Amino acid sequence: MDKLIKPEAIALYEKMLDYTALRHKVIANNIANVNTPGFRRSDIEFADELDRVLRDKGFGGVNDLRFTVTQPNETAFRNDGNNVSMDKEMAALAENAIMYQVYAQLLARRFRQIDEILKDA
Amino acid sequence: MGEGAFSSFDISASGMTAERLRMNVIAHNIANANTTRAEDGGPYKRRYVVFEEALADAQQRLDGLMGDLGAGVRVVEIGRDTKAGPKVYMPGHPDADENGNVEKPNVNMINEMLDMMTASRGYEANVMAISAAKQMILKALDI
Repeated sequence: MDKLIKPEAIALYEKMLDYTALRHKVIANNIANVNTPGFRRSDIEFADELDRVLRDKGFGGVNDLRFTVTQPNETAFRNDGNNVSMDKEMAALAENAIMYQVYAQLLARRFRQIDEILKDA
Repeated sequence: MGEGAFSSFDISASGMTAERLRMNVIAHNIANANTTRAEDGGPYKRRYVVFEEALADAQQRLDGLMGDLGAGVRVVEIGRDTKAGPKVYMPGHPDADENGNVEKPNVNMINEMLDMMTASRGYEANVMAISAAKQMILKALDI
């Protein structure tokens, strides 16, 4: 039963939903500050951390993952010192929203599978 | 303030409020582009808004989150550009000086138009961020 339900996979999807939801806030904040002088854009460092945890601890380590909001050292091309690129933020926004929906779909599918198993039991 | 999933609405709404306010100030500048008698008696001086990033307070931070999470933007000041406006020779105008010159407002129409475009694009971008958040939340309801 444990093999079929795979709670680790559920934990991973859950974490990815947390990540994409938080990243949406960070991107929304970058967009809201597109006209704020001196504003530096933020992002979340997560992909490398996830790689490391999956390699070292496997799925079990996913629950301990922490998100870090960072301000990447990207050059500002504007006179007001603001380094937000509207094109980049809009692309990230669209990508991130799709990723969220992908993980929501995967999680929903997993729960439906469990549902089917329980029905047959 | 909205909690959890909905707090991104507040972030984008703060951006919309700020851009809308900026649009109002620009409209005010354009409407007064020829006003030679402002409330202090002199020609109208163009106004500008100053934006500042708002940071989330400790309570709004997510558990285990490191680094600063932004909470949108806020307007800290509506300033007044004190630069002198161009002088135009208009003898007979009630506000003309002894040489017949009238000081016009320091509103530059091209600058205002450009600011209007950036404010309007900025507003639209925030609207996009809200509709993306809406899609995400509705999708989460399918789980």
